Amino acid sequence: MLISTILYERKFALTIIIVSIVALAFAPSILAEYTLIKLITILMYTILTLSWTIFSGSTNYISLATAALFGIGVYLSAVLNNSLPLPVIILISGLASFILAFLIGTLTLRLKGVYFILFTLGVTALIRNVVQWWETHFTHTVGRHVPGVGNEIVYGYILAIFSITLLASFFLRHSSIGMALQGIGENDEAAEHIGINVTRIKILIFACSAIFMGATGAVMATRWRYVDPGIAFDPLLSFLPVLMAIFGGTSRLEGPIIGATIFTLLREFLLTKYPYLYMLLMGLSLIAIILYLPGGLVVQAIRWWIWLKIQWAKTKFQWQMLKSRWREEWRPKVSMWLAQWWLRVQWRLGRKR
Amino acid sequence: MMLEGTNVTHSFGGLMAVDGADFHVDQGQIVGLIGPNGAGKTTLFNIISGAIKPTQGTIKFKGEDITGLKPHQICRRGMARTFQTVKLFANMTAFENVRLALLFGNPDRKIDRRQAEREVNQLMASMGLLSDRNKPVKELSLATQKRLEIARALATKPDMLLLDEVMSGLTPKELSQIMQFITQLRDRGITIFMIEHVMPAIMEMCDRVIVFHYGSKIMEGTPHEVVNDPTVNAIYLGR
Amino acid sequence: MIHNLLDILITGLILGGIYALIAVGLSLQYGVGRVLNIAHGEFIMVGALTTYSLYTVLGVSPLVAIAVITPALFVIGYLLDRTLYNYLRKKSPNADAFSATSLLASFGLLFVVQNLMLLIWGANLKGYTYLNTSVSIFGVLYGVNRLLALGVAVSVSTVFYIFIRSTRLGKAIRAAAENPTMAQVMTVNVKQVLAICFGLGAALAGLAGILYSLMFELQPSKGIELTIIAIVVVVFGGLGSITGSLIGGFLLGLVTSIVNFIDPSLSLVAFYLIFILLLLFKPSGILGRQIHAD
Repeated sequence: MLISTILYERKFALTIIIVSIVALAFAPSILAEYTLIKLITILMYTILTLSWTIFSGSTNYISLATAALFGIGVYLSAVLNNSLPLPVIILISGLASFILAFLIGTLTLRLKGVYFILFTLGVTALIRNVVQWWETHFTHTVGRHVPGVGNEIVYGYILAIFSITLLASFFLRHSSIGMALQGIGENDEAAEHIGINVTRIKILIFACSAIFMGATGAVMATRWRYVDPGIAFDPLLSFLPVLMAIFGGTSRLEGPIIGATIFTLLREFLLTKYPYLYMLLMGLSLIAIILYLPGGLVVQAIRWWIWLKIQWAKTKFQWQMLKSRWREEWRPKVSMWLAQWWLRVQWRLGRKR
Repeated sequence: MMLEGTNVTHSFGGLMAVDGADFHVDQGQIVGLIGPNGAGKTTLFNIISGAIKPTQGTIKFKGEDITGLKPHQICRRGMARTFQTVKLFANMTAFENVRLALLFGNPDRKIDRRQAEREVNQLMASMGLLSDRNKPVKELSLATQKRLEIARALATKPDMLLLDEVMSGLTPKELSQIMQFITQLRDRGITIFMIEHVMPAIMEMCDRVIVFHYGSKIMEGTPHEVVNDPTVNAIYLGR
Repeated sequence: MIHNLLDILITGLILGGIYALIAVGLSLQYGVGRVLNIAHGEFIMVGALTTYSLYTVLGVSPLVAIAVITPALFVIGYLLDRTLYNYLRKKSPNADAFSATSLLASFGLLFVVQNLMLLIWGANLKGYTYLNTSVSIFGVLYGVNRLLALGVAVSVSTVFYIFIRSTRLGKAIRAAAENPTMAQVMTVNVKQVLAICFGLGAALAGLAGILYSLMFELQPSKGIELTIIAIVVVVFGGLGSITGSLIGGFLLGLVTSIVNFIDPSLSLVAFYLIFILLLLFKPSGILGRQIHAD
């Protein structure tokens, strides 16, 4: 009986996902160019946040390498754009990010989480340095131009990558590997002892989650048109997905999506109104969220909703109590008092005549 | 011999947690491991289950050398364990805990979803955990959690079970229930190796007892022999 | 040839001194309080840029600045730990959860502090010259400011080394860094000790920043580089070992000096190569113990 409830909930969620994707597919024909561009940015951050959550959301291995994994795609796209068609570049970028993440994972995921976090912190700067050095000494191009393909095509690719990322996250959550990952996050020693090859699963999932980041990077290069190591490997891109995931919450699938959407819009707003304070405000937001919204917005919203429902039930109950007291205690008394008063009035009126 | 350890040593920065321990556990027996706190018993279990590598010595399980293998490999070969401080997946339900073990701990991995669920329910029913199966683990009582940890270990279909102080913190009723259960496990063919401080349990259940002190075995024998041994009495039982 | 070697050696020691200070600072914060303070580099830069301003605007000598900035950063670090990190400590169910949340908080702090620095000092490179006169040692010319930095770094490191090895408080801090749970059992006022260690770490960062400003050009974005250097030195010396960070700092300073001689733009790559080698062969570092769960 319970199993059918779970399946029902899952089918419901899956339906929503598919409907949303189909709806989004109609966006280019309905929305203005400006809104479409905004939507592209929102989807980009959503993909990054979702892929980040796939691995770092369940375990305590917080990846700060998103910028590197994404940037590789951006840079490869800039380098290869004259030689290969875009779909091939996207696939190659995904593969390159997979390999980089696989290497990082093999080096650090056999060890405690600290090493992974610390290593990924500097990886972005390292790769930026290496690319810069290479470009200065060998290829002598720092700064490359990428021909545009038009916003609708960019949107198409981004939507495709988003759909795949979303569906992958969804099916992973309910698969045995997804549950093994959850177990690893809860207690990796216990997980290892019930037959789960902890290191292998960690490396595999981390590497796979990187594919989406690299592919997205390859597409975004065609949107940005000008790419240099500083732009491709921007540390902010390691920071923002983390912020968005923590804000939305990592325990449910909607979390990263909601977090990414809200913060992308917030960021656009802040960039126009307070461009010099925007990093500061983002940083303060992260600290505030960690302090006051530990499970993320979605979980907190659910808690508030439950609280509201309880309050409503309490109020209804108290109202019922009041009504029954009225019926049983007060109304008879009041009726009697009214009747007495009426009689007295009648008697006085009678006497006056 | 189901389990055999030869000259097992583990030094940790100059501290010898386990020092040249030789021991063995025969198939189909319940063997107890006792000793004062800090004698190295849990470290020995950690070495056997693969959580730690010994600096010297070998461990053989079912005739195969398992020294240096990782815990998931040892689990797949048929050894499961529980922990001194219960290590369950606290935010998952009891059912999910056991199911995960069933899915990953079994050598024959072609188990489909439905069959897995049936087996998990069966296992949990046999341990009286069926009514709690959808509760998150952190809401369960300690005794239930300990039973659940054993159930999770059993889901990996082990030939040998390492129990680390399962009896601590239980009421007398819970104690006798678990003792009965462990004896049933032995009767079903699972070899039991248990660290315990609760002496009545050791006396009643164990076929043999190994006494550990300062990281090595100082004596072994039947419970009766061990309890009457003068050295053991002096060190451990304080007489 | 000798000139080159000597140059490399002395530059190495100067860099090493600074590296030792920033690594020990980070080690104190992570080792004792288990806070992964990735905003460490930002505090270094705050110290550096404040020295710059004190000197260029008020004419205050960097040596005097030490007496101002170091205590100020100690107080800031102390308060940060007492408020933010202590709150997170209380709310975290276990050590792993705390390392995650404290890391994220530090991440947020990184962006806050960097933005503040950008607001106050702007994004451009800044530098000042102080005691730019040269002195000749064995025929090689050295700026007095560099020798000064070297002197301060070496003497502070030595004093700190003696403190951490011989005094009761120093030994207690070392013990706490190696085994924080035990330390919590044995200390009377845990919160105080943790906050003091965090403050000390911040103070050392500030001091390192002052020395850094004597010799290099400053920019708010350089903070992350310095954090990465601190991290590699701490891992090299061993994650729980404060002495390791001290020694590791000097060793890696020498290495950087050698690499700079070959090609300065490769120094970060060299650091990461060392990091990778460590991860592959000896993650516990040169003085660290075997990795065990907390």
